[in-house]
Amino acid sequence: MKCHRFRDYELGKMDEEAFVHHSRECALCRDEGTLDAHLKERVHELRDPVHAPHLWTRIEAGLREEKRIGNLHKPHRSPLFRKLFFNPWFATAAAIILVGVSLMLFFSPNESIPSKGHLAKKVLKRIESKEHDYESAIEELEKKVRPKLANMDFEMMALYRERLETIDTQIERCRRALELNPASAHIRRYMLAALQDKKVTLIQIKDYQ
Amino acid sequence: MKRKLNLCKVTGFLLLGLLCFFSQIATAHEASNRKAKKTQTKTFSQNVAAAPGKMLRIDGPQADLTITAWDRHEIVIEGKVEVGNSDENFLKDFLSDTDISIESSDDGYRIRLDSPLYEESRGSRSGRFKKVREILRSGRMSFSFTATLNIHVPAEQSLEVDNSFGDVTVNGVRGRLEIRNESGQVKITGCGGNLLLNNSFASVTVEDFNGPVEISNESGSVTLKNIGGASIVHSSFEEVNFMNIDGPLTIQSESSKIVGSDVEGECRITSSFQLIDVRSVRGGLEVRGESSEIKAEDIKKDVFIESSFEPVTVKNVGGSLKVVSESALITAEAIKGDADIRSSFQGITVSAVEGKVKIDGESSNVTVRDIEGNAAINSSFGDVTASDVRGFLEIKSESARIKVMDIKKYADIISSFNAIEVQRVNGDVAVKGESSSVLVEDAGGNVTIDNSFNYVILKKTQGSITIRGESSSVDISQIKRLPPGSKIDVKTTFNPIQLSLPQDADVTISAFTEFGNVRSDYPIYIQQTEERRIASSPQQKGTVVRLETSGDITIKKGSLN
Amino acid sequence: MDHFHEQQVVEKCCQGDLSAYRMIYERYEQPLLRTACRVLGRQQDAEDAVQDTFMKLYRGIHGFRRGARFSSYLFRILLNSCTDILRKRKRAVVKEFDDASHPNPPSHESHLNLAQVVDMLPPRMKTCFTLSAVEQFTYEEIAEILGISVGSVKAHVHRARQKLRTWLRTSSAGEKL
Repeated sequence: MKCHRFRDYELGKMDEEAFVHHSRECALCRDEGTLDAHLKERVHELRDPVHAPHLWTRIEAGLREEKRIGNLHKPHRSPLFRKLFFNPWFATAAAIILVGVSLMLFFSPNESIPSKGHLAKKVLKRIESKEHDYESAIEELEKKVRPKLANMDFEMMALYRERLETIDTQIERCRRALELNPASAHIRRYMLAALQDKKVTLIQIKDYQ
Repeated sequence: MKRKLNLCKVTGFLLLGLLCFFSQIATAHEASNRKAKKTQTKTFSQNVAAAPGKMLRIDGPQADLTITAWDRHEIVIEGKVEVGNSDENFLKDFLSDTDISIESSDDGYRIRLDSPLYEESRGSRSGRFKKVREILRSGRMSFSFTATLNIHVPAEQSLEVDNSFGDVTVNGVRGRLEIRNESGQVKITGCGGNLLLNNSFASVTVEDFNGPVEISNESGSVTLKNIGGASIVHSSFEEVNFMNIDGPLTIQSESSKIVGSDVEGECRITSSFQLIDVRSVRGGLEVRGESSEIKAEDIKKDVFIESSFEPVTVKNVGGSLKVVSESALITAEAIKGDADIRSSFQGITVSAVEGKVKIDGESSNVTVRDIEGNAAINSSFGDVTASDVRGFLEIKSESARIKVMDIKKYADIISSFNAIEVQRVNGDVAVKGESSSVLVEDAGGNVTIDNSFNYVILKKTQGSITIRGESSSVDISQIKRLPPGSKIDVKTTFNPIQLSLPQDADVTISAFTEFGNVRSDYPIYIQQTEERRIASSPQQKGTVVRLETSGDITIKKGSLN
Repeated sequence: MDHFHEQQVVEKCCQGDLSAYRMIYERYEQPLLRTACRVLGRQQDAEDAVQDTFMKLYRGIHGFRRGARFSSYLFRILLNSCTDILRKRKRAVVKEFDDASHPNPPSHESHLNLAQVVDMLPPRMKTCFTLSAVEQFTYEEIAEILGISVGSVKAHVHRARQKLRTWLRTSSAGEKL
């Protein structure tokens, strides 16, 4: 059996002086305190040094290589750029444009991509424009979602990151295939599906409680 | 008036003019669109004699493939390539460079749809189709390419298929199947042999397959139906459905909803964040689902479940059940073997278990009922209710309200800060409560209570009674039986002791109180010392009764039982 | 390295001065390696994670907000690198999943040492305990590193200590108390 006061003390709900006073009368808390002190002494076993004599050499070689190929991260964008992209009005305008385009595409006739075959120039243009709109919306959502993702708990963050990476791989695969076969209905359909998937995933992250 | 009429005329002409202007634009636009796309087609037909035991390899870049078994000993390939673009000469050149090639080797044949697109997509540095490839690379055109291959093969043919951005369908082939596809649906029906399938971003359906299957589908759904062998599935993010698997089944997934039934052998499932629903498994079941709701029903052998945060429901298990969970609501019912459940912060309900029950529920409400074997419950901060346990019952708890009834053997309970109620226990009852109110009613064996700061009430006991209380009032009444050699030993402080003995009981009383009075229906001598008042029976016979407190002591002769 | 000195070193890192990275390495080598070893369970992987951390630090140093806690930033990168390695390892392990050995933790831990018992803690609890008790981060710093609330960190550390005290009590080492 435990005394809940020890838990309160560990969680910071009870100050040390009050706990010391209590533990004079409570054998359970005294016992826990003794075990805790013993645990604190033994924690030093976990501080045994890890020997990795060649690690710095590897790191240094890697840093030199990064320096050589000029991978130093680009400086911050200009304030104007940042003002523009972090401006909620801009984001709202982007969202309205996307909604408008989506409604237009939804209500406009003959807009669905055929499952097979070749896309006419007009349809291809519209699809490319739709892809572009998705990409813009995704870009905006990514900026909003970055801090949210960082504040998620570990497992959720890892899961969403994996999901986004998987979708990005598919988008890249589709892009490469479209370089040579740009009017393929099949590939365009999979590309749009991946973009839609990415947008939905980013919205899920944005709405995550 | 004339002026108004002129104005109307001008407006009308203007509107008409605008209408003509816009319709011209629309027509021109439509016409230009119609002019833009031209398509050209080329068909192929080739055949080759099949050789038993040989492998047929199919490289179909961005092609829809249909492979069908037949009863002839030859392989027939019929293909169609369609290309589209505004430059017809380019299309002509492209198609003239496109053909089906069949290469033979020691172990079989390789069928390839040779084309500039295929060469370019492979990144080949060969000089083949240079002119067309250069134009393709330039990206100056809205080129499109589709291909369809229909291949007939002998039923026993083994196949190796490598494809992307096309659908693959295989019917009736009973050899070894190895299929790698990307971004296209795959459908395998009525086949046999064994299947190794790798796909992504589109659905995979395997039905009526008479052999083992191993499927990897990244971000694509998987449907398995009527599989005649062991099945292994790797998937992510999309649903996995299975039905009627005649062998063991293993599903390794991430964030996939998994639903299925009727597995002949062992079933192992790993997923996360989505529902896992498994029914009718004739072997054992192992499920690992992080943040997954898990349902398991009608499992013939042992069940192991590891989960967190979402409910787990298990019914009808032919073997033992083990659940390791965190913050999950657990419901387990009708378990033939033992049940071992670990969870926290959510309710745990276990019923109809034919073996032993062990529960570890931190801050969980725990309910167990209808247990054939023993029950051991470890919990804190949540209510514990146990009823109809045919073995013994052990409860270790903290700040939990405990309610226990109908225990065939003994009951051993530790708790604090909340009520403890024990009713109808055939064997001994031991209760350790700190600041708990304790009520024990109808205990067949000895009763031992250790409590503080709250009352102790005993009714209908049949054995010895030992109570150690600190500031606990004690009330013992309706004693059913005082067997020979039994004793009543009650010690508490600052609170009264009230004892009602059976009418016909023979007792030897010793009562000690510091500040209270002693009232007794039995004859007693009272002595007053400096520290306390002592009451004792004049003669020593029958059940020894020792009562000690600093409050009042009342000993009554109760009504007849 | 005090806070002010650390900010100067970070400034030098922004200018691409490799000796500044060396100073950071010398200061944080052991805490980084120990934490990574605890999370990943293998020294080889831990070394890879630390190497990856420095690469990411080099590429992303301009993203570090001046005035913020550098150690929290560095450890956040480390734990993300560890996640990447664990994920890759999980994919590799997928091929072996039909191996019959699904080890369940032993039910009696009394013969294990403290490090082994800590390794058996659930991942988040293990990370919080390691950062708090071994590497002496405050709860606020740990919350910043992991991106969770301070309350969650306290709860994890409390439960870890509770489990370890229970082990101490039941193990032969505990009986000698």
